[in-house]
Amino acid sequence: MLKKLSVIALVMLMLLTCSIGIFADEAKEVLKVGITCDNLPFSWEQEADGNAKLVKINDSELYAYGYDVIIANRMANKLGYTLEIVKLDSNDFVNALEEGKVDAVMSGLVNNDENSEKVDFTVPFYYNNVVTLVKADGEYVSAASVSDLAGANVFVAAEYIDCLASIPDANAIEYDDMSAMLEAIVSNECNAAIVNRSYAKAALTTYTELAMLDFYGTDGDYSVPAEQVEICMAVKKGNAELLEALNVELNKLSLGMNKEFTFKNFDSSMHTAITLNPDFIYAEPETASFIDNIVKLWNRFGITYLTGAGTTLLISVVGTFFGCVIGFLVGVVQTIPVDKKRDSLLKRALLNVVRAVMRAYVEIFRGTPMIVQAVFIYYGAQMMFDIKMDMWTAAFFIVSINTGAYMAETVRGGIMSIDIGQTEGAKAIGMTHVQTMMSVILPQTFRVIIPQIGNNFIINIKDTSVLSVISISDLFFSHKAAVGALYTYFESATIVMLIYLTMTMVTSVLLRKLEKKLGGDANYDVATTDTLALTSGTYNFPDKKKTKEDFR
Amino acid sequence: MSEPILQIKHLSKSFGTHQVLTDIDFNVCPGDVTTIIGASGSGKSTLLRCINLLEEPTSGEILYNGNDITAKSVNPASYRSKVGMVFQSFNLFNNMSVLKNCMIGQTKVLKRSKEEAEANAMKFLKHVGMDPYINAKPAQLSGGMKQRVAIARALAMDPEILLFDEPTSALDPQMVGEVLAVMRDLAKSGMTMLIVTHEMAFARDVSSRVVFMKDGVICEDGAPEQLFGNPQQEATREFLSRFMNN
Ligand SMILES: Nc1ncnc2c1ncn2[C@@H]1O[C@H](COP(=O)(O)OP(=O)(O)OP(=O)(O)O)[C@@H](O)[C@H]1O
Ligand SMILES: [Mg+2]
Repeated sequence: MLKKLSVIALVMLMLLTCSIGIFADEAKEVLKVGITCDNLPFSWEQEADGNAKLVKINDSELYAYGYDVIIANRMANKLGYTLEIVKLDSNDFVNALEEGKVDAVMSGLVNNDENSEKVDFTVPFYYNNVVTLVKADGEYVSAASVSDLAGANVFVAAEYIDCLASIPDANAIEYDDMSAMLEAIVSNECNAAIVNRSYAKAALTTYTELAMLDFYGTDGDYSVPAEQVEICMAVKKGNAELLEALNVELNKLSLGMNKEFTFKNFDSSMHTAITLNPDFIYAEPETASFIDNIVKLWNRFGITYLTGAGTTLLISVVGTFFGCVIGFLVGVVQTIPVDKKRDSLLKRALLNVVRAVMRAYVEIFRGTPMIVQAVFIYYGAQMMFDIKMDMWTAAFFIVSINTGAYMAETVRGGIMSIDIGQTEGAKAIGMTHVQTMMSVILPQTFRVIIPQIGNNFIINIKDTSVLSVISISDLFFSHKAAVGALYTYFESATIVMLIYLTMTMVTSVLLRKLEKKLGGDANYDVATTDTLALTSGTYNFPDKKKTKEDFR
Repeated sequence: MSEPILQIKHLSKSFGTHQVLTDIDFNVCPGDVTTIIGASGSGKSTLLRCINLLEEPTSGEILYNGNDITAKSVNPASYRSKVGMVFQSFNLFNNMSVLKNCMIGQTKVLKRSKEEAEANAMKFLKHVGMDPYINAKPAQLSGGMKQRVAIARALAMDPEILLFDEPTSALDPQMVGEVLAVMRDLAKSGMTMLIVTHEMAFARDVSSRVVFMKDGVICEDGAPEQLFGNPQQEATREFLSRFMNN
């Protein structure tokens, strides 16, 4: 009986102790911690999913988790506080601390001089240093310093673009999305990715073929400012008590920055965070507004875009000019009349051969895409004739010769469209074919085909974009460079579209002005469509074009 | 009678199988004003174009001052510079002003200096009454004006003979007179002219000789009084009566 009683008493005592404990817990002081909830893998918000580690966000239905929450929780426990999570924009961190809305804030404030004047920073609770992802069984896995990556194809995350300079002979490559980049390392297309530690850790959880190289603290590391690496908590300026307490606990994790120990601790917590949200390795780095991104792109790449546009214009102008020269030469030769009686057999044979070659030229260059011509000529000249064209020569050459093929037909059609009476009038006063062409026919032809020349120029502005295959850094290339760094495809495309449109529209307006200036004589039939250029078949000027009218 | 400037001997021309001119024979002497009349399609234009080498004769000879210009060795361009031609459709150069139209042949073909060419052009433009329009472009002129400029352009080359292919056919009736007046003047000044025309009254007044063509052959030729007053051939009579009735 006594035994029974003592058991009951014991149980009651335990219950009492428990309840006292519960009451005591409720009486514990609260530690309010601000987190951004939008900075994977440091913090995010989500619905309850049965995971006890999630922490409810104040004044919200949602729960927070991530590396920030893990550390915040640990700090609250060690210091004997109850943790409360307040969701804050990082821009409000300083105010919230000053107003006492929160006691401490997690990641989001950079520990720089400016912020140090407003708040007090703890020692780091994470080192998000720059690391290198390589293939685990690849040639670069043994690299012991940045310089060992010499000659590698590297991908560089936008925020570390400056690190590229420290790799000798690096060959930067860009990817549309991060998983494509990771796949490229697996397939050896890309040798190394320069990313931050938290991202690398996340990638490794999914891509087991990869390995992470960490040169932190060695002479062979990337040079990145400490403020970008060291992630610190912050407390209200002058809250020395809390600062001290937090630093004591944080130092226990890092042993005052013992590298191996620190990273082991931090990495394991990070691993916990990541495994709860592995999707983040695919996530876009940030989502700013459309206009913000445009402004950002323009501030950073404005000169690049404009230089690209300049290149595009230069190639188009030069290409169209020489294209016209070629076009006039070919068009004129194609329309040389043959006098069966007076011209020597040799002259006629020669003319026929030249014409056949010209026809072939026109057909080949009108019948194949310029992008293929570019590759064919650029690499063909190298392979077959051992001519290493520099890319500018190649670009001018390709655009000129391509435009020339179109212009040849335009000019030929233009010449044919000039009233035969003009030729006969010139012949009747004794002018030779050359004189007739130079003084009478070609000036009129030029006037007639101005719209076609303009069309070709506008087409060239657009089509030079394909020259990026031979590494010409034109306007479209500048777009690729910009998105490679900032991942803002739509915004960059918008800028590039606008620049292209501006160039083509200004051209159209100028051309219309030129046409007006040259006089809209009623006697000129201005060719506005491509029908001129489409007239095909060999044409002996002027015999076959004669109509009955002309013989009256 | 002086040496003929132009002798056409057994001239034939066919386009493929289509025989357009058959065995044409006639002479033009300096100072002659010869008009060629005939129905549409009878080959008048083709004859004129053969004389100017705008068409290559199929057979026969064309002697110019005694030299056969159909020979291989003859340069058609330099021959044409001595034989002026005025077209029904004017054929003024659309890209040049009136003055420029009358100078280009002189400077390019005859290699005259700009000043000389301009003075000469102005002389003939005045002659045809077009000197106030020297800066106009052909598109700004009426048909009669264009034709007068075309005549001035031909004259500015100082040709030894002038060919006219229906110079008034494309003109409105009120403009025909101004062009014929210029031609009448030219005839009086002793210019050698070969004129294809449908203007019968003009042909009768001005010509020293009239040639009637039918189906590519010369059917009848003679002095205007005779050909119009007393035509020998049935075909000529028929043509003339049809013409007068119209
Ligand atoms: N290049 C050519 N090819 C084929 N046939 C032609 C050619 N030039 C002219 N002809 C034909 O030759 C014939 C004579 O034409 P031409 O122009 O000399 O006649 P015309 O007497 O001047 O007529 P019109 O009074 O209408 O001017 C016509 O039947 C015409 O169809
Ligand atoms: Mg005719």
